[in-house]
Amino acid sequence: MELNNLSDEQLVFVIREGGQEKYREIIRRYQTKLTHYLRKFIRNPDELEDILQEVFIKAFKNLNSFEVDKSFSSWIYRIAHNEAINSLKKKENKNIDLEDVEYKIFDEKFDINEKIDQAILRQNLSVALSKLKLEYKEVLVLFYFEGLSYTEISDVLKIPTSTVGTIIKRSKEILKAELLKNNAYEK
Amino acid sequence: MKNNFDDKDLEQKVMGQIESGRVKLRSRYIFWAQNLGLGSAIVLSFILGILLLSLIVLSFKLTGNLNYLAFGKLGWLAFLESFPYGLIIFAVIAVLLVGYFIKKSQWFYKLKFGYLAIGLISLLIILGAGIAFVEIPEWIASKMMFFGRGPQMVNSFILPKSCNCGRGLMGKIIEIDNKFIIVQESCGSRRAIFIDEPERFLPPLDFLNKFIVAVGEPEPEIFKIHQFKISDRQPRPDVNKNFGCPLCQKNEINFN
Repeated sequence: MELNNLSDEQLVFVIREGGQEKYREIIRRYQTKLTHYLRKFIRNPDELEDILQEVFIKAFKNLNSFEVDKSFSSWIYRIAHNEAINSLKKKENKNIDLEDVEYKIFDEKFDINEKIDQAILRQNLSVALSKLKLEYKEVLVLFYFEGLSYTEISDVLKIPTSTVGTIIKRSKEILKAELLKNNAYEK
Repeated sequence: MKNNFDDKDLEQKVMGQIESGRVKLRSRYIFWAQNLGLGSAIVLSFILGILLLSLIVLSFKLTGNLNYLAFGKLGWLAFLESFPYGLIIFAVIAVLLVGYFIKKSQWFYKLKFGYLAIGLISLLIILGAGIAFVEIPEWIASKMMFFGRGPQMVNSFILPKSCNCGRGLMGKIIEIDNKFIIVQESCGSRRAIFIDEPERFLPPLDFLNKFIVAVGEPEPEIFKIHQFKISDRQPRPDVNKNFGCPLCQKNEINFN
């Protein structure tokens, strides 16, 4: 069977049954996604590579603890999340780096009533995000920038689905208030 | 997406460690054992919590200290003095342990922790009270009689200050005098109750051999009465029959 046709969960089943070389396919499927996710928390490329490597190694070692009836994506994001949090705890600088496309996503999805100058948005968004509590920040990143659903975020962060919705609503309010405040100040 | 490091390089590094055997899959039995251990810890701490809560209810049943609540503020003080604090502390620790293990297991993360905690505590209280009323703790305690330290251990938790307990007093009236009544407590000790307003408080002679629940001020050797109730029924069950008394086991008295 073609590896491309297998779901993540089927692939995990094959790897656990002895096809360890097939783990390469898992790395290929998730390397870009996890790099994208981890970059929100880890700026240094060398450190990012080390952590990503650690994520894949931990995921492989613990593959037998994964329940194949659940989502592999949530499971591996959970490992990446834990590694990112451990790394963040060691640091003082907890700023988030956003890419061009993410500013656009933010601008579209946040639907801020008052039009904010793009230059100011760019300047302030990263700072405003960084000011958020970590529990708010991680939910926003997973929802807006990684495109995970409420259920997937609930599985990654191990919190109730309803709490995910509450956090998103609350953090949007905080961010809007912060951005509008800065916007008025800049003008 | 562009990375500042080489994607292929990372893949090779990870696969290199796997293929060389330096990184291996952990056995599924390890995870089973972990889950089994965690599950057992939850179940055991839950059972411990139920048992301790049932002992608290049993303590109320045996000491009869709920009777003090009928006497207002002083009654509340007497009740609080005779409260089984040791049991409460251990029960709280058991509940916290259940909560800790449940949180650690992450099996119930879809439920809000607040609801889970309320559900858990309610379940523990209902089961604890249910078990107390079917007298399982009495049965366990009676079995503990076979072990040397059993009765003392059980008594020190269940029957705190079961005799000479501060502002409260319960027992059988065995003597009535002009200014005193002598009360024999369930553990066998005798206490003199001083009555400074005999016309108000002194029970008639036919109260002899009846049971009294009183609140007042404990003083050396005597008890200065403030309020009391007389009853034909003993206010607390005969604890001697079940557990013996920590203070005066050799002087057991059966009220009945």
